[in-house]
Amino acid sequence: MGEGSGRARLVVFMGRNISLLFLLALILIGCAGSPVFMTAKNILNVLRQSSVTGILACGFGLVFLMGGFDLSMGAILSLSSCLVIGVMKSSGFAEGLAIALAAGLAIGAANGVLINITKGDTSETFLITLGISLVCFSISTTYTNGYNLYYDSNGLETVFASIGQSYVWDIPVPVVLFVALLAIFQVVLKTTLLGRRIYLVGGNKKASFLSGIDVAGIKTLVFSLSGLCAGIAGVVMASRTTAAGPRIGEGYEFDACIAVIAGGMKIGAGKGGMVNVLVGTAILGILTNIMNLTGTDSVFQIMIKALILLLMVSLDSAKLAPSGVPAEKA
Amino acid sequence: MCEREGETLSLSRRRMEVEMPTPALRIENLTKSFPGVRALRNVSMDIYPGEVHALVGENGAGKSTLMKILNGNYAKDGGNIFLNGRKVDIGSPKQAMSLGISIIFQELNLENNLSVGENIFLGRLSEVSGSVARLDWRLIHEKARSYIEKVHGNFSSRDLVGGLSIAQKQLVEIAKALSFDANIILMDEPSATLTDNELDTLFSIVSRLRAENRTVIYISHRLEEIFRIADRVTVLRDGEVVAGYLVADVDKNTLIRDMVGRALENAYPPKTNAVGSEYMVLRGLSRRDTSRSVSFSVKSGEILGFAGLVGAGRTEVMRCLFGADYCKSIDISIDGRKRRIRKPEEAIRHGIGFVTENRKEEGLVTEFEVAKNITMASLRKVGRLIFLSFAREKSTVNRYVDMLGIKTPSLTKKVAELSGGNQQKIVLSKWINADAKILILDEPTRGIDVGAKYEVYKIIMRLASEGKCILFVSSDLPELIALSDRIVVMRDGGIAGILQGAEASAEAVMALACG
Amino acid sequence: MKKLAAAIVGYKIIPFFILAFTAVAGLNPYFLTSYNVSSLLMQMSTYGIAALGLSFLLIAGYLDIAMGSVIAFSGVLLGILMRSSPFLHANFIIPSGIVLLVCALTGLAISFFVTILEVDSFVVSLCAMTFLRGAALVMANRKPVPINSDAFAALSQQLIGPVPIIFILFFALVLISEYLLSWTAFGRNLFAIGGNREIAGMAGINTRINGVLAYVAYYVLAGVAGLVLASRMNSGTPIVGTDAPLSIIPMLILGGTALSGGKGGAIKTLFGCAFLSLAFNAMSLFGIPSNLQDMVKGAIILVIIVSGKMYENRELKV
Repeated sequence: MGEGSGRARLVVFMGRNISLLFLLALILIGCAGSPVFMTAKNILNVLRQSSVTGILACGFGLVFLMGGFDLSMGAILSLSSCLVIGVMKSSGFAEGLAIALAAGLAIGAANGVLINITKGDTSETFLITLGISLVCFSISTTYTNGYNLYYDSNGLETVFASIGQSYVWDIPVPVVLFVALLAIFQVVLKTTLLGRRIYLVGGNKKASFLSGIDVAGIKTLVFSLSGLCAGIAGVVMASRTTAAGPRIGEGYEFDACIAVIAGGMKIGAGKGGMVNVLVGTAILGILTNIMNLTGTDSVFQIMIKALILLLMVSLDSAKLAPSGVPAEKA
Repeated sequence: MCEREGETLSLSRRRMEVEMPTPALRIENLTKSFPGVRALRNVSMDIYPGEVHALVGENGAGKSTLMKILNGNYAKDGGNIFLNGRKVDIGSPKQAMSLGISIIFQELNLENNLSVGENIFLGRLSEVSGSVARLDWRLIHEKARSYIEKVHGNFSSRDLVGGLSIAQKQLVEIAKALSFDANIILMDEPSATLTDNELDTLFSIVSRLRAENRTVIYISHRLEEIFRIADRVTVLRDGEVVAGYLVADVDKNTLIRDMVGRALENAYPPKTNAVGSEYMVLRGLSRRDTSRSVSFSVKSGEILGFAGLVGAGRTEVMRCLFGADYCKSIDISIDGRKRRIRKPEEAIRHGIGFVTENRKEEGLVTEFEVAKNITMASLRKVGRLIFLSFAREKSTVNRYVDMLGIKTPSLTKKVAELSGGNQQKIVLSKWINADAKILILDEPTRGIDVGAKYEVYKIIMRLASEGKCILFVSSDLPELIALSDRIVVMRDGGIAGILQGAEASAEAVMALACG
Repeated sequence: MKKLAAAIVGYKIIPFFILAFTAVAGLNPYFLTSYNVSSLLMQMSTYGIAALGLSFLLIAGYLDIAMGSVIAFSGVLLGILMRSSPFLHANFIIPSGIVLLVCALTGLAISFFVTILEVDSFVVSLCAMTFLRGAALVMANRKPVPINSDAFAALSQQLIGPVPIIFILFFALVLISEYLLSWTAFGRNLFAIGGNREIAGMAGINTRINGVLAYVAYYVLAGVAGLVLASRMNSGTPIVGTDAPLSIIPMLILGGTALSGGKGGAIKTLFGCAFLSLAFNAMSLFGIPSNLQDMVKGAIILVIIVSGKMYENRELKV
């Protein structure tokens, strides 16, 4: 189209790759701000601490591509972590794991079913998943009677402990899980028929329906996967922190949301995939790391994250990347 | 009705030959460009008070750009606009309205959840009421009533617009224009969805506007209407004015030739399809909310046309058949066997395809590329087990680009950036690739220019010649009559009659459609 | 289920409310006692005032869930201001005014992102909710800020018969809001904008300014709700209001406000609020334990949201 000056093209390039630039900027800030930033110990730490958010972001991203928000992930995470420890104490690790993951899957499916009943769009996903999260939190509270649950990592449950606390070839297991999930989802999205259907439903659900795609089935599946991710995240978190509580995951879906949006994913856009999740999780992880290293208060950290999300969505809305459609006046 | 109109027409035409008053609207060398596209080039026109001036041209000729500039939606790049001799600058829709320019868009611009009166005075409620702090609803509705009477509206000012018919909504728009004391009224394809009776009402209002010395600029693809109602006509092509005539001095073929830039020998391709034996039979098809049911059959290789006024129920029948809407139980048999179709997925499996009337909302994922759109109804065919075969997808797309003549600068372009004709070809490709043996076409040439229409007709004829069944819904009677083997005429949700090829004349169809 | 869904849309909430009211009154003798009635009216008022604010926003087509954080924030800010000087402590009307001013300015800032930068209102509200909650926690140092003012506390304790004056305030705000929505150009503009933003714009309605005003109204009313709560709790507590969005939005849906915009009203919201508060009051009266109450509450909210939308979309297959 011949847009003219090199400067305009630079702006377009920047607009399309804001996330990467942001990541780069953060890395530079980190290096400049603290001498420990680039150490192996710190990097490992960042990786390990971002993996729970990363696992959540995988699920959130899947739902986001399909045009929705899953705000129940934090609640599912809490429930799953309580269940895995609680059930494990009475019936062993395998059963605890199975029930925790099944719960995640089931609640995710419930999200999908409700959204299908309403034939709803993005706004309905907000509210329904919020409602489910309320129910979920109260289930957790009822299950634990409001207390936190603990397990002894030196005791009999060593398999469970190893999930959160041991390594595979020097990489922490949570990170391996995150990367594995990332890879699996990416392969599914980009190379399988199912992945194509997910993109199509996100792009235009009416046209997809009229083209024979099982929109309801896809929605239920995607939300179930998201619930499963939250379940996995809950197990990992319980294992790593050796504790679980009914509200332990509160607010984590917000982090997942930031990761996905900061990573450059646009809702229902057809482009983008798990690469955005990876970049976004890295951005969030490094940001949190920088804030920790500089001793920022935890509440301030949350406020800063809120501002960053606001910044990212504002930049996106300000439409730095032009399209070929003529602009109308007012 | 027609005779009276004729009298008024010839009188005003004679008047124009004698005197040349100041033009109500003069457009001088108007230019407008968008990135990569020059929409208007040195467009100049004089339009006089008391005139009905028709504007014709293919899609993309610049008519809607011109209208949007006059309405204040777009800013012109160059040129001047004069109203009654005075140069004006139209900066916003509100400014256009205050200058006396009123536009009635094809997609009516009304708020469905507000009342008629509130719509007429939208944005001016405190002015009409006379106070900012308290709206005087009685006064507002009273004033609205006077304009409703002027357009012979059979609804009340307090009715919610959402509950009105399209024809009634159009009257609300005209009432709104009158409430601005608009001197220049632009009408964009006003007749596309009107019954003949409603059209008569519209024309009588237009005549009255003319008698009040107002100016009406009338955009339509229906050249017959232009000969009925307009005094003069301007033809736009590729953003330029190519001709202007007194309607009395010109004929339809000349206009078409000016619009297209070449003589169209035949507007329609020759019929090459051979009608075979019965392929699909429908019995007792009806929507949940109606009691009338529909039954018909279609043969292989047949083009079965569906005529009827807007609201007759044609699209509804098709959506029921395709499983897109909730319907009462229906009896469908395809190729001799009974089938159950509860959702589009099942319809597609039985070989039915559906080209919907609004391709952007329901036929395409406009933000995605050509390839993704063409394969979306037949993903199994480009898949190997659970994986996508990109090579197969690419060759599929190339096949259709060649076969149907889809013009696109690159295959990775978003469908949204292609023209209407190309978009429609992509939708057709989608269904051909899905191995549709029964193809439902709902207004397939809507929003497509004359050249592309011909190509779509050729594709339809070729598909029929290959033995496919075509269910062809169209509000364009000439194209329906030219292509169909039989025509099902619907009225009020049921079938009024089925006409065989020879007996399907425009009069016969209309007689059945109006009842 | 379908009938409930139909009632949930439109003014038909009123007969349902009367029905429910009579049912509970009939089944539980404790319901109509003066204590219960005034406590019910009091309960209704706090979130009810915030619900009024949300009405303006929803009608204009914007969705927002930050009201809980605004409630917490305004209470905390009041506590801090009152604590800072004896003058402000004694004349609490001044710090109250300051708090409401700050809320208005915050609403102004948020509306900038939504109306001018055109960011999706929900996502912005997600950020605002988190940010303001954090601000409240930081300002209050994570503990409730005590407000030791008998005069201030009295505001939420005064009754006229069984009716708390806070409820009278709520009712007055309902009437004012209804007037604004039905009899001023501003209110009608909101309906037009929520119905179809482009058409409203073409008619000359300034969608930005009206949107900003709606946001300011919403934030100020949420601030008022926060002040009311602070009076009831004798403190500015940074952790209150986390259940606000899920309590308030169903009130609006019950009252007939469409989530997509263009429909709704203040009196409708009042009845929606009354119905929901009645339901929750009934739960307590019938002795349902609090854990279960939360679960039931969540289920009720889901039912309201799902059936409301299900009714709207009943003819659609997807």
